[in-house]
Amino acid sequence: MIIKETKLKKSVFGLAAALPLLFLTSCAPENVSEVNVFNWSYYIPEDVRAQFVQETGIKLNYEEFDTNEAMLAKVRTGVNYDVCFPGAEFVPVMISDGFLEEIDSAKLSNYNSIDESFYQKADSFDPGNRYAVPYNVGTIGVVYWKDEIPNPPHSLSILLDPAYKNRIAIMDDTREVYGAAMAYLGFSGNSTNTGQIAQATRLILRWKANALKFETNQMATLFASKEVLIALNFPENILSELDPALADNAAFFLPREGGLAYMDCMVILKNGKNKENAYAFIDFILRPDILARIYDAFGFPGISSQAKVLQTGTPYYTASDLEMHNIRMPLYENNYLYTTPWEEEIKIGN
Amino acid sequence: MKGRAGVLYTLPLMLWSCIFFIIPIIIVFIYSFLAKGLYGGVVWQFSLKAFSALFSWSFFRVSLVTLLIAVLSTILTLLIALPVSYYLARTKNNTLLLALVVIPFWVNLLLRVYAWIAILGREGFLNHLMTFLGYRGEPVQFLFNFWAVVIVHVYTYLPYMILPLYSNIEKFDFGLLEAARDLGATHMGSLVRVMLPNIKGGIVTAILFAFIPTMGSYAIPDLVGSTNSHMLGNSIAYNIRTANNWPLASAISLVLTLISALGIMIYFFLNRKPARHKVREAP
Amino acid sequence: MIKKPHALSRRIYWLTVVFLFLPLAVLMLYSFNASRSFKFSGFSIKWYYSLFSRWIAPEKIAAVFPELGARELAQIVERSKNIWTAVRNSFAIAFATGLVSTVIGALGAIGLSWYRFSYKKFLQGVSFVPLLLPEIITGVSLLIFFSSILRLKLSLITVLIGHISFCLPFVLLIIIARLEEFDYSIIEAARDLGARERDILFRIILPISAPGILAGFVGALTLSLEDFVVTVFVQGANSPTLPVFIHSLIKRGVPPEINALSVFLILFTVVLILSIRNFIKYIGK
Repeated sequence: MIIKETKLKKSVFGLAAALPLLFLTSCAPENVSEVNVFNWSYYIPEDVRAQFVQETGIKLNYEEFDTNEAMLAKVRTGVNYDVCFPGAEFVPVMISDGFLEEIDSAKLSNYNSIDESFYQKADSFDPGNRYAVPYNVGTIGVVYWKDEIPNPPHSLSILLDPAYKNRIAIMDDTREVYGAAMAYLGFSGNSTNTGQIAQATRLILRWKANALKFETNQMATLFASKEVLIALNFPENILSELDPALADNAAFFLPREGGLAYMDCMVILKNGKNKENAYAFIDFILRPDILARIYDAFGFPGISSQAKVLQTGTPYYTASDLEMHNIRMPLYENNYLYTTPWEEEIKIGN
Repeated sequence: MKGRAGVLYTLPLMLWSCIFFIIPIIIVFIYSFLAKGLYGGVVWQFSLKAFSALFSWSFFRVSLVTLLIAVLSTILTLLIALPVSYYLARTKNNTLLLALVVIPFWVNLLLRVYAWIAILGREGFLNHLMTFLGYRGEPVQFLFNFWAVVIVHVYTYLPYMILPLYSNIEKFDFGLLEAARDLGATHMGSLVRVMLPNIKGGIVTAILFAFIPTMGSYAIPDLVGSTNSHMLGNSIAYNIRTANNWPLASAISLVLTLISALGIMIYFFLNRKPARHKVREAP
Repeated sequence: MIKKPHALSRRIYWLTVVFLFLPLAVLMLYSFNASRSFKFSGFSIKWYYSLFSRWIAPEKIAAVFPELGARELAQIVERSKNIWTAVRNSFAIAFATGLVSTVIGALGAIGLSWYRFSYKKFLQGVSFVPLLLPEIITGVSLLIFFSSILRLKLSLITVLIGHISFCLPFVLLIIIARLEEFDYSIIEAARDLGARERDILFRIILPISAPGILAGFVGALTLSLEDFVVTVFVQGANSPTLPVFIHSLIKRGVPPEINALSVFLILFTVVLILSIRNFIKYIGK
């Protein structure tokens, strides 16, 4: 009796186990040539991606993240990407954690389209340029509605203006926001001085009290629907989303206090299964005409002289505007000086 | 023999519960006592740092706000759900009426939240309606505040409350109400003094069905809340998905589990069943 | 007052229905909106075209959107493909979840209701506690378990495990409730008359608990289709379920095709509820 029952159970469970597998395998894509790319949102326009697929026939699985930390968290949980776009300060972390594959520059015919000076800058966090190819340099600033704020001070003091209480949204990113706050106070965003950081924390808490929310996901829709009039954010994330009819009314300034610039790179992940396609993707992106289209789409000044001559748009800020900005550097074991107050004093209560 | 058949029947369930519930919960417990890695991950050494971060004014405030949102929206939901389920229970041929309550619950939660954004937004349906009706001031910011979060929670968990309440009230002997009225009670008085005590079990279940998920809510405050309606769920999600601080996320999860456990204990305390309701034991 | 004893509760009921349906009505309204914004600027069914554009001839799509260029039209088709992939993922996961959790849950419910065994008390506690914990705890604990202990690659399989985990207690609850209504003495009688365990299961237990099992299956299906919180923690790359996909769209404002899709999902729901009701009635006879 029991034996029969066991048999019965076996068959029932066999069936139960097989069915979902059937469902899942029926969803799995056939063995096609593909590449898994994990990139910041607002970093490669859709039509450029479509062109890559068209020209190479490689299927592009494209996924986006909003902060370096979120990117690393996802990579760490074991999702297999082939190409990823970390910020400069996250490259050494990913190297030391063994996530990155060495890049063979000989396999990239367009390797030299990025200006040599940026390879030199990258050398400081990626000695010998072994793992990372620089992609872009940029910064955050203030996006605002011209009709509501005709004469903004070109300063971060606007974030404390009580006239805009609850009409301000601040980007939800540790180093970017600290970079702005430190610059406002006259310090460097790469500083490891605890007293300076504590002052910046107090300043950010005051910003927070005047702001509607810290936001990443809904930033563009928040601004477009005028729920907020001021956004401390990457300009491209908002301005490239606006209806062309509205875009003329929106404007952007870099605070005169300066700030911290990010430098993002392309890396190949060791875990990825499509190394050759990863090279094909990076090489495609490095083509001057493609770089020019990307930089134009998001109003970047760009880091490629070869692309510069092909660019037709007006960037939101120029390379010389960025002169006042330090490049954000890895802080290694001192990173917690920023993340701890951010997580435990600022973010825990949002 | 019978004992073994029982084991056979329940073995898959037992295995699943142990592997995918007990072990993960134990791991969360252990992780909350570990140190955070430099750029996320954990270091396998004992540390109370995650818990020490919880002894701060801002964390206390988040817990308080979470509790406040959960309690307020549960009470509001109950106040709506009670008469609704009463009406359902007292109506014959109520299939359609029941379906009307259930159908919205089948549309994806995120879509419904998004629809609320479209309704309450500064350029949304409600502001347009107010302008249409003659309102001439600045558009009102209904969204991104404490009350928006409460309203959307009430909206989301109404069906969760109505169904258990309805199935409980349905079993209630309405003759008792008439008896009470014959003895001089008012309509409302008979409902409150006679019916409510009799459906206590259903009320407690319904409260838990709304309260527990609201305590762990994360998408709703993220989408329609602001800096002053941040909840524990957001803190957990932030520490997992962005800050890479797994020990802190684990510690906050433990706090949330403890608060829920408190709710469960109150549930069992209020819901001590008389003997006849005991789960039937096989002879 | 005495004439209409439920006047107040009836009013509250209908107000509540209005409250519950208001967002759905708004979704429907915007699915027929000629423009993308929240302002209604004329009736149009073009978003239905773009929702189904992956199966429609390109010339037809171009005729519906004369103002768009080739690149934008390609994007519409691409979006349509992504939407339907997410729908397919969601339904595949939901059906698999329903199947597995119903089988495990039905067997467990039978064992817990009618048999005695050593770890019964323990199992009763353990299998119902998840019901009383916020879902986010399930999500976080499974994520940490998968990625740090099992070192599983996050994929649709981990999503499936997550969904089964939070659906099981519900399925169990629904089926046990059904079994409790049933008189155990029938089984005793059958056993006294010499029926074998297998016959008891197939000829008695399963037929009478069929409505409960079906209800459990539908319950699991619903919970799985709806879930965002657990999924968002245990999902892998490039295989979003519908809720996760919709969440990723909120960033740029949800495209109107999604409104059109939700209209279809509402209709699907209504049809499903009605047919299940009739099916249960049919079985009950």
